[in-house]
Amino acid sequence: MADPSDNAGAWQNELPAIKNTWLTGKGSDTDLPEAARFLRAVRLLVLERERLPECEFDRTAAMVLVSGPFYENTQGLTRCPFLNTGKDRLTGQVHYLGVSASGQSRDYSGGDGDLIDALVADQADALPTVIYKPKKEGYSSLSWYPTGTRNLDNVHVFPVVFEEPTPELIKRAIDGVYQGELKTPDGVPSEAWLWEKASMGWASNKAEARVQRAVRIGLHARFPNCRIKAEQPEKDGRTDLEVVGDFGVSPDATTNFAVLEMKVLREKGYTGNTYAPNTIAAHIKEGVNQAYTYGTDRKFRDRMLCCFDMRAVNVGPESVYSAVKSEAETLGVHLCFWYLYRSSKHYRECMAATALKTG
Amino acid sequence: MEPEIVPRQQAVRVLVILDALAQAGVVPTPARALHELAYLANVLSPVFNLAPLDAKLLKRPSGPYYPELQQAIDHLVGRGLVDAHNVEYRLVKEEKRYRVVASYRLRRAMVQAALARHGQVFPEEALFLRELAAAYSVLSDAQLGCAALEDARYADKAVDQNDVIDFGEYESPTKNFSRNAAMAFAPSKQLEPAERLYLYLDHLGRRVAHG
Repeated sequence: MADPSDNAGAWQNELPAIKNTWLTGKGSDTDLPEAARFLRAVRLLVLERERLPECEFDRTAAMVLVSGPFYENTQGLTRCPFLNTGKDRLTGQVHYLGVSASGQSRDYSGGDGDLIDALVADQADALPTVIYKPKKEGYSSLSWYPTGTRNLDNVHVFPVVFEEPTPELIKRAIDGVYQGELKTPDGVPSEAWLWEKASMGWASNKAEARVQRAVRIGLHARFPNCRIKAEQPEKDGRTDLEVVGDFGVSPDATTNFAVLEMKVLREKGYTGNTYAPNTIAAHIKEGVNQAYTYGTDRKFRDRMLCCFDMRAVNVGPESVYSAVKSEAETLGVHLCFWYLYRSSKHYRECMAATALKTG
Repeated sequence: MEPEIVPRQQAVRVLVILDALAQAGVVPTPARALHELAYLANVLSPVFNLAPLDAKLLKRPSGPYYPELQQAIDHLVGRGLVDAHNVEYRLVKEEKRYRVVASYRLRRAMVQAALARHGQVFPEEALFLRELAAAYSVLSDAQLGCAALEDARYADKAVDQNDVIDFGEYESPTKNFSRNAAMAFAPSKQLEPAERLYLYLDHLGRRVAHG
């Protein structure tokens, strides 16, 4: 007997199409910060628009993340329901949008300076903003101002191209996260701190989870057509991060791009307890085994071990990975390494020491 | 449920829906969109494992309309918590009755604290309505308020006009065909609940546009 919950009423005849609907990724990221969701939605929307032959490449546009009260207090905006489908013109306009890149827009007249003035006039220059500079043949760019165009120095630039997540590009995306949020604790909000007592070298017991979340958000922004899954359990264990391409393709055409095993290397835990060098070495070896097994069992194209070193001395990736390098090569596991400084002072001391050593 | 609780629940639902629609840029909000989103929230709440506020309604030829919700809106306008614009009563010929046509906007200063508290106490419901409103906002102005006529449950021919659509009040919840359709997308995948809302509303939008 048919399961009654299979009854789709007036849509019953469309069930085969419903089951094979291409996923869009919209709504797949509700657990991430609003700014990260917005940036991804804007990247997808611009990519969609540039795919169409009628796409305009004439003038700059701004997309600003706003909340409900902004629309209530701002006059002269027009609702653009089809904007986040890529069907509407983007250029020559200021778009005030929510996390899923739907909202209201208005035209502006003049050049780039006038666009910035328009944002000031709408009291939107301190809101998270993407500036879209269109250019034909894949040369468009998106400049992301997380603290608004008032702070022009705080900017990250993204190309407008679909990028396949290769290990090199994944590493580059994590480099960006590292530079912005992980390298030193300075300027990092307390809920994202990796250290229990940085001056003593005590790592937080949440360090691995926080590194994982920061990297997930970074990959999410970099690869908008991929689902970045965390903590996926199977018989072989629980993966840390998976990069899966299942947006914009039919459900049976998913590509498992990369599995990332994340390890935080600490010599002191959150109570000051010490981790012996052989324990840390075993931790790294286990990471190689995990990356290989998950990648093989779950048919990922690439396997990566990402180590974040919180120990007192930065001995460098060569030394950290010396015991597992050849094994990792044989197993096809990419080894990546980032060193986490305890403070900006620690970073400066290390930089100066390295310069003196190398002359 | 205690009879005096219902009007209060309706009032809260109106405020939260108006807020969610404002977040999605659908502001000022047409009355018909408010009623339609209330209906979609009822049929699609099981996608988020939430219970519908009301699992039945009268099937009207012009789309979903909840008299008790309209009463709650009118009270909120009267209490100065919601602004009403362009208010008129228009005859709906198919139903031989008048319906209020108006646009609504929250008086933010008066309701913000209550909305914030609701978000803290019922975070899942607030998220559900926000995502549903964002997914709903892809409909054109002309489609707002008329889209439910193509909804999997509302459009089901087994229920005649002016009969009651029941998707869990007395009938089995398996009769909630909207929920069933939303859960049918990409069966081999583990989708997030909000993802299903966007896919459902995208499909609904296509049906409305192309019939």
